[in-house]
Amino acid sequence: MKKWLAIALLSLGLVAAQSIAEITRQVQANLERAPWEATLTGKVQLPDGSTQEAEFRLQVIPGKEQLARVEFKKPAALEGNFVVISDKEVWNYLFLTNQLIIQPRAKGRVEGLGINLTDLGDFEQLSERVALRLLGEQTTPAGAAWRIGGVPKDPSLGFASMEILVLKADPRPLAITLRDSSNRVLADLSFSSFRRANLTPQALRKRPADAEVLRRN
Amino acid sequence: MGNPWVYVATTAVLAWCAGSAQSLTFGLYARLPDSPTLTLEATLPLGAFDLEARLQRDALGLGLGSSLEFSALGRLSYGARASLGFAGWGVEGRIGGTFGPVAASLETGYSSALRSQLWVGDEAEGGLKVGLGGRYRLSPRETLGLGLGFKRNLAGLASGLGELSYALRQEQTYTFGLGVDDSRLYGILGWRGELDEAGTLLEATLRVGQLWRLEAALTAPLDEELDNLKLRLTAAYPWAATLGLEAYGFRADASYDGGFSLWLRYTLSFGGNE
Repeated sequence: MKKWLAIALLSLGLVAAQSIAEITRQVQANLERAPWEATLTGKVQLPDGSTQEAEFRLQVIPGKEQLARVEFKKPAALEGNFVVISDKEVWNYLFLTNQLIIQPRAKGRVEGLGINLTDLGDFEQLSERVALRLLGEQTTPAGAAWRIGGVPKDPSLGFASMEILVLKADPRPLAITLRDSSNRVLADLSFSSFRRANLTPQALRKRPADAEVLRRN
Repeated sequence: MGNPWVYVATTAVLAWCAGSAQSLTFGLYARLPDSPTLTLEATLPLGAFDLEARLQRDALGLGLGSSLEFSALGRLSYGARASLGFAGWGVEGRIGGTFGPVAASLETGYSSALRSQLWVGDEAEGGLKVGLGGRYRLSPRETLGLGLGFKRNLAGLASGLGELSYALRQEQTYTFGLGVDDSRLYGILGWRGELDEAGTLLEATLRVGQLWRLEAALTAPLDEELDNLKLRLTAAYPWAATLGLEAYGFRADASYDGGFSLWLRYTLSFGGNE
């Protein structure tokens, strides 16, 4: 009996593992199909511990030469700042000083507000950095969604656990919540205005022509 | 043209450094009626720091700088430089940072000779100088700016400068402000905006009152490699003017401030920090 229970549990585990791998694959395939953009809104905790309203615009051109741009709308103090991430480089634009800081991808900090927003556009990379598992299903205004939990494989990622809602009908993220080790919410963001868009690398790399360019290695 | 061996030795050092250098800038500077001088500038990484070296006919300057980057949240940069020449010596330090809605910078320096005698690109003033700058975002569209300066020249004469400005960003940015430079009062009017879809950008600032100065800069993107065409113009009364042109590593600066000068430069970039 015990043997059968063990096999059943093992099979269930395998099915669950396959499921999360399959969901990851579906999300990745869906997001890689064509360029897209979305708005993320919610709350984030700043390094000083205060919680702020947050709004980011995320634009992604998938493919071999993936390019992503995150524009900050809120908090108001960061409005006008943006980050552009390519395979090789990370650009950070600071509005207040009109500076564009260019760093190699390997060294560039993209985490910013405790979360690497572009990971949400690259699910394969997210699953490499975070151990994901399927928690169940949930009904959302957008439709039925998978509830996925995750624990970072690398503790330096800045959070202790994450939860993502993925829309089943059109496999893409709907919401993400990050918590620290005390279970406090570090970021609680939901996706809205998701749409396929005709994005070009030129548009994603758009910056003020007179910005001071600083290359940091 | 000074001692040619200085250039030979320096060029050899720079050539040796070139393997790891980030950039080398070769220049020729002439100011009538003085004889011209070659200028050399090099930057190279030194661990977490950047070493900057600059040389002209009769002076050498060495600087060290670094920064801490906080992605879109901000950054902190700092550096120091020492210069030594036949005319005298100079030291300067700077620290500046931006975090969230605040940006601030502090620069200070002392020179025992006119700074232009230690580096042709610097002002023809010596002694102590301290500059403090700050910017604060009142709202996503409004920014307050503050500039304070203090100088005590080699003759012991002190002078101060203060500017307060308000910038409103709509499609274009409009700046209004007031300033005082050594007891001369003036108003500040500024405009900055894109002129076309390609992103050509014009910035013009007019200081008008007991002091007149117009500064204008036009920047046009040339390609996707961050190359720009830059045109800079400054005109001031009492009469002084500068005109600058920059593209693909070439840079030409002409100026008049009682005497004419011309500085031609070419920068070789090897990637890495700048």
